[in-house]
Amino acid sequence: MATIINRVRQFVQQLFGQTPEPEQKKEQIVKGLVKALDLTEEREIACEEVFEVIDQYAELVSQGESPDKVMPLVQHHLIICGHCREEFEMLLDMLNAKPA
Amino acid sequence: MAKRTNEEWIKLLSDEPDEVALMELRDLLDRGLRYTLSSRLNTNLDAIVEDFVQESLLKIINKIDTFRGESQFTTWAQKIAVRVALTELRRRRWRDTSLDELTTSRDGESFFEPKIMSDPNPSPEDRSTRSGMIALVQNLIVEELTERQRRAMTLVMLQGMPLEVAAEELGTNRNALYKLIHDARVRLKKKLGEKGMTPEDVLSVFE
Ligand SMILES: [Zn+2]
Repeated sequence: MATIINRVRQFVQQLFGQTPEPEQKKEQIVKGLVKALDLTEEREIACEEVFEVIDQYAELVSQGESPDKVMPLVQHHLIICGHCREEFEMLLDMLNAKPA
Repeated sequence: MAKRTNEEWIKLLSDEPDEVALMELRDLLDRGLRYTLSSRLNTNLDAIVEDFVQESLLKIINKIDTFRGESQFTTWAQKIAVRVALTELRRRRWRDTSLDELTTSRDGESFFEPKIMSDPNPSPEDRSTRSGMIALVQNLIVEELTERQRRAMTLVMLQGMPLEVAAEELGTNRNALYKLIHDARVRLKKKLGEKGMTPEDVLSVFE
């Protein structure tokens, strides 16, 4: 019975676009934010600086070098920034694509 | 494909681009994009890859004099193609999901811009409870961040809006937006420290 009531409540809440569990949602947000703070460094480089060197970085990685030693700031940015990480992973992929 | 040095590539593609070199570069980008996108998308690649390659080639030719030779020319060209493809794909992804979730993703929306503050100064005992900690973090956000920083964080960290789209919304660019949010993170971390807490302390309350 409780599940049915819950389902109805969820449905009604969805209908009105309301938060199902406001506290839970806030907890999620705080956790996400604070995890980002945990990774935050005073000195970080931004996306454009990463883009400048990401080709070099990808070559180093694909050659098996340890770029955390060569370019630690780039590596750190890739942990924080999902966009640049996705671009890096795709570039690595492309470097490994077989020639026709 | 002919193996060329960086100097040869630059020479062939500058001024009047050489037809053969251009075609080989086109093939390289086409093959690479198909290879990497095939595992990430399940749409018809023919319909999109050609446009990405075309736009990439224009960009590459236009900024070939900014290539500093610190990687293989082809790697440099490929990173430009990746940026072109992903920027467009993220826009599309966002357009589609934001339509789907228009009614359901509204929760938490006012987190960074609360209308009513719950408790302006949680006592030390409250810091050990989840709601006390939420109030504390929310307070830092309201008191320490600028309105622009809060708006940026809402769009990017909360709603998951792509950086390029959020940058347009805020009248800036992706790089400046990253810096805006970085400044906000640094400030919040510092202020948390001034209250005698590390991020780990906060997280431990939610475990
Ligand atoms: Zn980035």
